[in-house]
Amino acid sequence: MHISDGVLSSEVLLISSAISAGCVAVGVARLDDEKIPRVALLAAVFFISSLIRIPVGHSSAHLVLIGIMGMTLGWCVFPALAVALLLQAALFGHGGVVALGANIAVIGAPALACRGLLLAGARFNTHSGAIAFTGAVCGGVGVVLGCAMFSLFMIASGVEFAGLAAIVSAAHIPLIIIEAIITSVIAASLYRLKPDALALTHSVEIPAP
Amino acid sequence: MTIPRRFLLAVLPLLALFLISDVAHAHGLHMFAAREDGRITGYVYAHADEGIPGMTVTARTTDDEVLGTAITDEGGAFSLDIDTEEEIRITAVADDGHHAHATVPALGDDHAHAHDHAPAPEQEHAADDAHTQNHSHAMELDDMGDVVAQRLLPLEQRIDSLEAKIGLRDILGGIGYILGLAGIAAFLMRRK
Repeated sequence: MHISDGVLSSEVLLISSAISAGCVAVGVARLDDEKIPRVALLAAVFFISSLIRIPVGHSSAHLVLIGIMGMTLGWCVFPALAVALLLQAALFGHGGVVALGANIAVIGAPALACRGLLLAGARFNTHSGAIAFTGAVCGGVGVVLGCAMFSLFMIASGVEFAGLAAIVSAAHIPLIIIEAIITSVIAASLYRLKPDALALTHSVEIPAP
Repeated sequence: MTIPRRFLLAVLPLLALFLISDVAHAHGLHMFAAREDGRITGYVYAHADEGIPGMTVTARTTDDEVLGTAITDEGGAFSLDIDTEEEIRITAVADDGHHAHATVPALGDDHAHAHDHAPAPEQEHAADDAHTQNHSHAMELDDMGDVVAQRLLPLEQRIDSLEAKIGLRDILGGIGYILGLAGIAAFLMRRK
């Protein structure tokens, strides 16, 4: 899900970077003493998660943890992603430095949507089972939305997908299942052990539609 | 139970985008290439020892003239029948636009100098013998160079793979940066 340098058009890069910069600024403005350790912890987990690869045929997918990042951080996911993605590009060669803004948007927007899903789900039911279910949905939907954003940026940049119709890739299906399970378990555990980590009553955290 | 139309309108385009996305080769790509018996051989890989098949490899001169193309095999290896002493720039492009580059430097010109050396007229006869000896000597050196290059090839490939490998130092360094930044942010917040 990382986009390398030299792949996207300059227009897409500029627009996505501008949007991401705005989102990072909003996230930084919402940081406070209590959130900083959580943001740092999840940034570190996200930073390492790209090394956990799931072999799929000739290729491989890796954990992205979009769901849990978005559910717990809300808007603060953007500064976490900015730092983690920059370090991934610099140290691992995953994604490009110039494409950093695009990569933040590809992962950050679905994460924010997951936060919205969590808050919407919590309005109807706050039982731990329901939170676990919402976590599973967020884990899966996060990956799907991330892939959708990735494809959108590629298409907007005029990148020719060879055999576009033929690439009906099942590569993400195992990842969706794994992410759904992981996010579900983490969300349920957090809700039982440290419910304030999900900030379900925090009115400021409602993401933009 | 009926599915709301607005829900379908929102979900179906997203599903379509998801289906056409391709995670293959979405990470840092690397390429190793070297001259070998009048050919350019090498392989493309994402992580150490993990070759990427199906990539289009194109070799160009420094003037951007295309010398040849190839497709990587199951192990990510490729071979191009290019017998030139010029510098060659090689690019491998994946279906999703990710790419890797490598440059094969021009061959050294020591060998050419040995051939181009012109003897003085007064030493022509003696020089003929010397030239023959020099020529055979150059040929021997050339053969030895080829043998040494072939012996060193696996070593070069191994070094290249190790350089591309993500080490514990990188991981710990990244976590250290994150914690350091968090510390700075917490410090700044406290000062406010």
